[in-house]
Amino acid sequence: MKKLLLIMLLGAVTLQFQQAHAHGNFEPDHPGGIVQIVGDLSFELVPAVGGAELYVEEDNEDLPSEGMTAKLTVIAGGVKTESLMSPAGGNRLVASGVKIPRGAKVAVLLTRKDKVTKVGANFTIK
Amino acid sequence: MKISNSLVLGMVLIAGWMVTTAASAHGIWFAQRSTQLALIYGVGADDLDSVKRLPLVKSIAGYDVAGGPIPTRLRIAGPLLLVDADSQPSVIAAVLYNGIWSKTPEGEWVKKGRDEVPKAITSEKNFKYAVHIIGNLNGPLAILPEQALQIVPIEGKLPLEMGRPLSLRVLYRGKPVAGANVLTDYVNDPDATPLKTTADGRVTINVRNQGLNVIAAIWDGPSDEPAKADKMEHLATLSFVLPHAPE
Repeated sequence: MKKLLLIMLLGAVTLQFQQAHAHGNFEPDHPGGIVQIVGDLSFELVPAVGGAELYVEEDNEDLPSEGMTAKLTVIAGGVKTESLMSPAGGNRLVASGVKIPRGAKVAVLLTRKDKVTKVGANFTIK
Repeated sequence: MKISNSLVLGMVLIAGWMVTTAASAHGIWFAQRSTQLALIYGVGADDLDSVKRLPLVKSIAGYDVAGGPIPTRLRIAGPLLLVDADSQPSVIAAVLYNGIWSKTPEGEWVKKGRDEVPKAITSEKNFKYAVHIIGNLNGPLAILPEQALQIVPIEGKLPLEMGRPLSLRVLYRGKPVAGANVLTDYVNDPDATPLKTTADGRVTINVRNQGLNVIAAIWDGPSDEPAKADKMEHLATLSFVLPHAPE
């Protein structure tokens, strides 16, 4: 009986611990994606040929990109380029004509639908 | 000369009170509020009215990962002052000038100079500085313009876990400051006995929190207006977040 109570107690503690960190997931949903979590928002940046994609989730659910924009900043080899990311259906924003080489430092600043609230994340491309 | 135990105890208590008083001055720092970065004015858990103090903010600046400036401003959102940058920064910095304050013989602080309170016990100009690192460092933190007093990590990187040592240097106008008071956890333990920087401005702390860390350095410099203030108190914070474990 004591053993059972101990196991239940340990289980409860484990559940509580997991709950404390129950925001986001660093596993990318798309090939080549890199995930950064900011509070309950998850940003997945996908460097693509001739562009970049950004997928946004809130509380582990897709956040519709319609009405949102993002500023994409790429710093590589001492050169800084900035691009505007536009909604592209679902929870996706895209920027075309962007090159993100390995070793680049990338920053994304998302402006939400209210046009005022901004949330950002920094990435390092390995 | 005989000194009674009571007198010694009294002197110790007064000395302790002076240290605590010096260490407990209000500061500014950055902290996340509802996913936004806010400029906080206060001490310890006292997150005071920052909007009222917006006119005292002398500068707000954002820097990208390469140290390049990013157009940045503060915007009022209800009771908060939120950072509003044109692109995602890696470092944010602010300066607030809190004016001249004098302590009367009755122990009251008034916002006047010695020229108006000639019997003041002390009169001081108060400057507050704040630097916030977003994410980890990718190299040495630059000595930032406007940050007359600044705390910089010596190794150019932050530990990933609380409890790990972090060596810092306190600089005044780019030069090491000896004897600055350093508080390792300004938000959660503002009354702690401060550490002192060495002759080369160094201090090593153990990072306190797996979350927001606000380290404060306090240093009194010479007055630039002796008729009004006996000294200039500089209070600088360095804040950063150690991320919690992934899900």
